[in-house]
Amino acid sequence: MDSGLVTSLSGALAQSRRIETIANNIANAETPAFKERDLVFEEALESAHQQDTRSDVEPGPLSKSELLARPRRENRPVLYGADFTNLKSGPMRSTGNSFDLAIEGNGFFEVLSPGGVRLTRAGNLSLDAQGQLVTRDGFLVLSPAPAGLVVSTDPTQQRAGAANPQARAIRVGDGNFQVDVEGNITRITEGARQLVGRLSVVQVENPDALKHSGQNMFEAAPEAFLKAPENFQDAGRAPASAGVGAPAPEPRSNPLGPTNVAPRIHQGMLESSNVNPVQQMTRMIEAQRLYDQNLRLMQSHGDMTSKLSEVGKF
Amino acid sequence: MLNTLNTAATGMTAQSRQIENISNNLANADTTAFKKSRTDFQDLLYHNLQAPGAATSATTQNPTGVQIGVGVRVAGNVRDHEDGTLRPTQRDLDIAIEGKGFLAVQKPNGEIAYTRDGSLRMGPEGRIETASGYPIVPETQVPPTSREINFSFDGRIQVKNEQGETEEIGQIQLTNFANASGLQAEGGNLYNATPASGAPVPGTPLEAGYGRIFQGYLEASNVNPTVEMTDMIRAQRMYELNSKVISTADQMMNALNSVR
Repeated sequence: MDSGLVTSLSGALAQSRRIETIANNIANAETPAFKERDLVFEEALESAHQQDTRSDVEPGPLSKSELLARPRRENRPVLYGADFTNLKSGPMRSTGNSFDLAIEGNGFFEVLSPGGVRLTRAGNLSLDAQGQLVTRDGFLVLSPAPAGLVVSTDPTQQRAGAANPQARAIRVGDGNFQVDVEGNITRITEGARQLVGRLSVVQVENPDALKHSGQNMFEAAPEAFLKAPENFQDAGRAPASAGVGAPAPEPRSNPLGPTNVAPRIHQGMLESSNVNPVQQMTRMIEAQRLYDQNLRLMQSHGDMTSKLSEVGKF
Repeated sequence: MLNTLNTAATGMTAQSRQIENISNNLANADTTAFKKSRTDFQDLLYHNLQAPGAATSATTQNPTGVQIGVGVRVAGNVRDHEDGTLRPTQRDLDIAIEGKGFLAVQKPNGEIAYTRDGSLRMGPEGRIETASGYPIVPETQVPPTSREINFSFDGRIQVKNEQGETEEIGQIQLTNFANASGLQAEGGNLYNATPASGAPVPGTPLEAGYGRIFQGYLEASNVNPTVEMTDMIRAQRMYELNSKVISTADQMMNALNSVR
């Protein structure tokens, strides 16, 4: 009886976690470049005493005694297995503001947070007092790592590249600048177009290794297999994923988009969140109903226990 | 469930901030040289229930982990310093700045503030002042006997004296900032320099990077009512959606209380 109660309880807890995730999605429905998330559940392992120790027995009709001896397998509490981030691009919205940049395709800007280099697709940038490009939190937006350094995959190299990330800041002066699709930033000074900087855009081959770090940023684990897109590489810089020990994972569908297609940067546009309110509402209703059902089951278990205690009373 | 309530509450707070901002933009749609601002949101930190890459056995790792978010916050209100359209007024003392730059004005406490509102007045002693009576910097006195004040594109102020001769009495100075969005709005169409805006960089109109002066025009606000209205509708719907989440969490807690 107890284990049934625990199973229902785990179901109810799992659904309430799911509601929390949905609440976060809806709260962030207007956050630029926010990616919606969902929880995926899996059964918890059966405890040792519940395991079918007789799995080697040939299937076939069992005698009554065999059936009774066979362990029951119905009690499987739910655990949250993984959360799943839908990394599909959100719709692009035109803002007409020259500080708004959107990335089309698989790509992230690199920004320098106090905790290290982070990735973001939220291109609502501004300037700091020195005229350098920064995010809304004042974190520097970085230009590509110096020549000879791959952006990524190897954590030691990543650290080497981050040795002096301040030097990778992009100084644009004021809002009077143009960004082309390849991330080159130009200004017109005295009638001539001058290159003032270059945005670093990195692609992610294994999106599962991205961790949300809040403030519209992602933290990439070494398994993310970051690489710079072909056309974003400076001359003399190592080609994508060259000289890297770990092989890239098997090609599979990448929700961010293929890494062999160059991302394009659009100035004056901003990526909206990809939260679909209709879907979130239906998921919420579903989670609520499942929660109610689990609670009702708990109630039945309680009723059954109390019935049992009445047996034998006079 | 309590987390859900808090998360949805952050969503409602953020959306009401958005509405507040939109209402301020709309209220100032007709304010001279008003610059609209936009509310930017950010997701809050995440609870890591299981870190991505956590070991699930000696040889395997959890590929994605479990992170639960706790809501949204307003990252900032960014002011859009895009120029408003120039509106003809036919008034001699109305000037508009086409392009970049702010007029510097001196507040009664001696501090300098910056504005793009060029609806100037003549003070009792012939001093050129803003509509609030603050003198523009550098201070310019208009001789009492002069007629026909004239502002040239490069900011020179000329008058005709009694003899009908043109006389130069001053020069409009403009000030630029590395990051105009970092200026702090003080109200009264004035802005103050802050560490985020960078130091004021004075210059004269028509110089590289500075705008030019148009006499007889005023700069309208850069608020686009259509955009504001659609944003408002969206913010309202998002607010409602968040309140639905709260009522769902409430129903769930109610169901929980009714067990036993």
